[in-house]
Amino acid sequence: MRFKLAVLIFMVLFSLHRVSAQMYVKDIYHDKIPVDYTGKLRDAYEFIDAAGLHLYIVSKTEGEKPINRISIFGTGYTRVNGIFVKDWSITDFSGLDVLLKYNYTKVVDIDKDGVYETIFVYQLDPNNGLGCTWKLMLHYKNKKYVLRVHVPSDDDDNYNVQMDKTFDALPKSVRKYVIDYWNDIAEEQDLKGRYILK
Amino acid sequence: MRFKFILMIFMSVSFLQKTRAQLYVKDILYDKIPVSYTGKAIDAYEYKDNAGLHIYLVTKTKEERPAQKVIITGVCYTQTNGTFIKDWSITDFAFNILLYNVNTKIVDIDNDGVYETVFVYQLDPDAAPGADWKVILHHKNQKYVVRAHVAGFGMDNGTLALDKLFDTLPLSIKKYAIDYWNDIADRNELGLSFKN
Repeated sequence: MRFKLAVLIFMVLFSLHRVSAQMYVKDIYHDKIPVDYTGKLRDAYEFIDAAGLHLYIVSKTEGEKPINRISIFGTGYTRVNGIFVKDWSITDFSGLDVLLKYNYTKVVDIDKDGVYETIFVYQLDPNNGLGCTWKLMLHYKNKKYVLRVHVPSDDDDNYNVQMDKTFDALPKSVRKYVIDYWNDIAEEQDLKGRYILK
Repeated sequence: MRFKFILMIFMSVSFLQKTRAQLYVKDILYDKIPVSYTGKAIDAYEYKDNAGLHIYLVTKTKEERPAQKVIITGVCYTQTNGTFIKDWSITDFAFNILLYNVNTKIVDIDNDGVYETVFVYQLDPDAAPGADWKVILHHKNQKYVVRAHVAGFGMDNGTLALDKLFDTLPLSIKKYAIDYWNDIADRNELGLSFKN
């Protein structure tokens, strides 16, 4: 009897271990992407949370007619009845270049509600000698929150940081995470005229 | 009887899983790192292979005086009689250095039961003359480096070179390093890759 009880406890613990492992984040950049995307793939994650199975995909096109425009596309999907349905999408473009900083992509449950937030960061007009613009895109419950930073080419120009007003509506932990994250990026990149957000 | 049978199958399955799990790689950047270090830990793995239990760690230190300088140090340890003994270490410095730690790989390329480590960093990312990149691969505690110079805006062509030592490596590892660089070049849109 005691043996059976021990086995039962063991099996319950083992299944619990399985359950906690159900939430995951997987980089699928080198795998087959289960949805169509425009242009060249730049970043891809699959993740499961309390809201289901999701995809986060970023792709890019170059040299669109009639002008030589470079565009970036970010999309979030959730699988519903076996089909990936779009939750959100963003598009941005530049006549010079758009560079996704894929090493700053985060799929993370900041407010511990069992649903992942996504953050990705890209640079508009990098390396053109005239300064550039960075954008940090947070998606929280499929709504977009943007941090825009203009980094000047030299310290005389203005360093400009704009946070969407909607940031104020976010849980404090999420807002703080984004601010800290941006400050870390600015520090790590040694951005000129670095501006510390409070 | 049936109960015991099911139990036996269950235990064998979990035992097999455990056995397979003997070789493992675990990200420990946000855990307690069991070796002492200076500066900030920016990449850390614990891994186990046929040569034992290892720690791979990269740290970053910033100096403001006499001039701004960023130093990165990569170190690898193997546990011997309960203490971690250094296998190799590398140090590099520049005005600024960015480690692309999402690209760090602890992987058994040649399937000999011993992991290789590969990491990549960029020196002086915003410098007008362009940036240097280095891929550092360790195979049996020996270092192999891929060096790239990516030209700045309106500057001359870049350069790309493999250490001569790469020719002494198993072909699978040399090929891995080439593919690894080509992927970095592609994802960062550097326009500087090895041709096949």
